[in-house]
This record gives sequence, structure tokens and C-alpha cells, in this order.
Amino acid sequence: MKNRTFAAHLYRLFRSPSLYICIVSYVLLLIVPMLRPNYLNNIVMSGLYRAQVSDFYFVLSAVIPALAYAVTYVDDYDTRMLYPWAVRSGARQYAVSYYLTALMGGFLVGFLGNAIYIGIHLLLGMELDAEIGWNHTAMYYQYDVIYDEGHIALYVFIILMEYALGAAAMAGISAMCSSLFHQRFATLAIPVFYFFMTDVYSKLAGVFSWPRLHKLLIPMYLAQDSFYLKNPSLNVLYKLLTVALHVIVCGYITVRHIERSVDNA
Amino acid sequence: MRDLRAALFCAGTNFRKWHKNPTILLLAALWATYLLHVVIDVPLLCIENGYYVTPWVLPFVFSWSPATLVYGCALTILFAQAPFCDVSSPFVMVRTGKRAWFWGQILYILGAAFIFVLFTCGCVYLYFAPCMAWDPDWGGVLRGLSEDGSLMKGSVFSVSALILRTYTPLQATIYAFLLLWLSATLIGMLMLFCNVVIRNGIGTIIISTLACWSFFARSAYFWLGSWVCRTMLLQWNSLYAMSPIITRGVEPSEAIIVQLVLIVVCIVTSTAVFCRRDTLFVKNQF
Repeated sequence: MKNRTFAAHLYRLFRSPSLYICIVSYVLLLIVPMLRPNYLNNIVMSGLYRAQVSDFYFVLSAVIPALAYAVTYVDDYDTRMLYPWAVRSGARQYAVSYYLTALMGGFLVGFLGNAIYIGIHLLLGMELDAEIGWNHTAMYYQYDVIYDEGHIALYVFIILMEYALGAAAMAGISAMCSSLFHQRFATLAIPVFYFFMTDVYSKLAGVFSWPRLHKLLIPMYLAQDSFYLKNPSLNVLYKLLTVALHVIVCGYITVRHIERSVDNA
Repeated sequence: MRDLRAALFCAGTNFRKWHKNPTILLLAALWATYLLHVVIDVPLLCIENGYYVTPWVLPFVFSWSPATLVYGCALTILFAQAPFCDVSSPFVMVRTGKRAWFWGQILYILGAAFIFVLFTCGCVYLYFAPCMAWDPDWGGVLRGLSEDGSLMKGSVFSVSALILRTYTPLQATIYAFLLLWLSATLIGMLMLFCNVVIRNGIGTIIISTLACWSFFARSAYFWLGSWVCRTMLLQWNSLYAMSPIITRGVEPSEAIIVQLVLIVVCIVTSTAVFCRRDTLFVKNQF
């Protein structure tokens, strides 16, 4: 029964057009920075990097991963499908499976979106990466060492994983919001709200000498942040810790609230 | 006169539902946060250096390129359920008449768009309040920012030298306010038109597509050519966003006239269609 519930959620994820629409939207949004004239337009990684520091990054990091599956709980709640699910599989089982599938939806959107973008541009014959100055040889300078040693596939894989894990963490936050508020708009809006507020707080902290937000609390800039410049392994480990922290906290709250919704029905 | 009173009553009924609608409250919170995210660098720069900014900041609030996307999405959420039918609507329609009820919905869209713009202005001026000082001219901060954008590296707020050169501060602010209100109204009316004339729910898809197109077109006009600028209907919400359009010969007054004509066409067509058709029930989408 345990695996069947999860399999049913996965079936819904892969059968739903949302996942594929989200991946296509993600790729289209990554192409936007390449439309603006820039001397880095012939470098594949520059598109990823510029999208991440661009003004619409909140859509890529907070909205699209949530649309893949995290909003499904609201539909289940509204259409009362939650209760037959809970009766057949158990509320906890439903909640855990839903949460894991939402994470997987976010992860797939982040991973495949970026992978397709890189693949298309490499097929067009563009250069993968290049020196960006400040004595660094790659766009994602925290992984200079790997790139310089010629482990190009590993370099690309780590960056794809970072984007995907960041998207999964944001999808987890959306799933938590959907279990708390039972509203589609809240599911999408609150992660965006979190995104803007962390940005505003960071700016205020800089001016008024307030304590800075720890990077562990900001999963949306996962691929951009560097904890340890010269040690890629520690860097990856720290980022995994960031994602794990968010996934565990949001997962606990999501499961508790879904169980409570079923108990109170 | 009786119809007007009934229409005002219907519009008022919609406004009275706001305080119980979590979507509206959430939208207000999100929009206020978004505006804070957009403008915060300027008040911080002023506070740090002891500068003062003049009240003519409104034309530059939508300088950020995804602003059109966020603005379009916010208004889509506000007007997604147009013509705002719910379980009580048939009873209200029987008492007031179908036409008066529909005019009430049109008045509601006009009023809601106006409140949205007032809310936007209120938030912007509230954020600038700690560093605002009166000056009939643009002031040193805005002029400085228009000449040297590096003063606020990484900021999403930018000032266009073209606007400073072309308009007086008062003229630009009035244009900015009018364009914001008209484009918000146009989005509401287009939503109403699509939901009534074409099919329920199609308005959300059309307006979202228009918002996305305006966002893409603003990045792609370097490649696709200037004709793209004329298709960015939702981009006509601020003087700054219109900058590439203004430089290609579209004046804000033309944009205002085009938007007014479109609003009137939407109102006339959707009223005619609605009054001839059976009552519509729009599914709650958000």
C-alpha cells in the first residue's frame, strides 16, 4: 500500500501536462537573458548565471517548481478527493507521498529545464563556459577546480543538481503553504513573498547593521552561493545541508497539517 | 436613476466581499512587498547619504522589466472571476435587472482598478516618506540616477533620462497615474470581455499570455524589430516601460486613447452579449 500511494502520486505527476508545461516555461525563461545584447551570449553557462542574477529569477525559483505538483493538494482538498485518498491509504501515507512527489516535481523541473537548455545550446555549437575575470576560469567559480581539472561532465552535473535541489526546496515550501492555507494562490504567492522579503531584509541589514540572514535560510540562491571557495566537496555538502534543513522542516509541517485536516473532516 | 443606484449597489456588494476574501488580502500583501523590493534601494541610498528625493518617483516604479509580468499577474488574480457571479448573483439580478447588475460589475472593475492604483501610489510614497522633500523640479537624486546608474548597483529601480528630458515632473506623474489606471481597467475589461463573449475562464489565459508576451517582447525587440513594441499592450502601463515605444513614435497620449477605445469596445460588446444570454456562472479559480 505504501509504495502504491507514492506510485499513484508519481503517475499523476507524469500524466499531468503541468510538469511538461513547467519544464518548457523554465527553458523559455532561461532563454530571455540571451535575447538581450551581451558579449557573453555565445557561452552556455552565462545564460544560466545571468538568469539567476536577473530580475525575473523569482519566477524560475519560486513559481514554476511549485506549479509542477505542489498545488495539487489544493485541488484534492477543494474537490474532497483528499478523504477517499486518506481512507484508502492513510492520511500520513497520503501526506508523505504527496510531499515527496511535490519535491520530485520541483527537482525535475529544475534539473530537466536546465539540462534541456544546456543541451540545446551545446547542439547549436556554443561554448560551454569561459573565464569571467577576477582570476576565475568558470562562471560558477566555486567549482573552478573541477572545471580546470577537465571534469566537465561532473562540473555540469553539480550545477544542474544545485539548481534542481534549490527548486525542490522551494517546491517543498510551496507544498507546506498549500497544506497550511488550502489555497492555490497562497501556494504560489508565499514562496515569492519569502523571496522578496529575504532580499529586502538583506538590504536593510546592510544599511542598519542588523544580523545578516544565514545562507542556510535562503534556498533560492543555492547555485549562486558559495560557502567554501576552494573546497567543492564542502561546498556541495553545505548546500545539501541547506536543502535537507528546508525539506525536513517543511515536510514535518506539511504532514502534520494534512493529518490534522483529515482528522478534523 | 434607479438603474444607476442598482448598479452602484451591485458594485458595492463586490467591494464588501473583499475583507472576507483571503486572495485579496494576500494579493495586497504580496503587491506591497513587491513594490518594497523594487524601490527599497533609493530610500536606503538617501538615508545612508542624507539625500532627499522629490515626489516624482511614480513614473519609474515600473522600470524593472518583469514588472509587466508581475503587474499582469496581480491584476489577473484580482479580475479572474469577472463578471463575479456567485450563488447570490441570480437573486440580485432578479431584483435589480440583468443590465443594472452587469453595469455594477463594470463599475466594480473601474473602482477596483482605481483602488489598486491608489494602493500602489500609497505604498510607493510610504516607502519614500522617510527621505522625501518637496521640489517642483526632478531633484538631484533622480537626475543623478538617470546619469549614473552605477550609484545603485544591483538595484531594480532605474531612472530614464528620456523621461526627464521629455516631460515636466507633474506631467510625467499625471501620465504615469493615468496609464496605470487605464491599463489596470483595460485588463479588467478584457478579462470581462473574454469571459463573457468567448468562454468562462479564457480571460485568465489570454491576459497571462499577453503579460508573458509583453515581458518577452521587451527583451526580444532588439532582435525582432520595433514593430514588436506596438504589440506590447500590457507594457503601456507606465512611461518608463513605454520608453522603447516612445522612442519609436508612440506618444503616451496615443496609448491613452487606444486604451480608452479598447475599454469602450469591451464594455459595449460584453454588455450586449451578456444581456442577450442566460446567466453565466464563473467557477472560482483562485
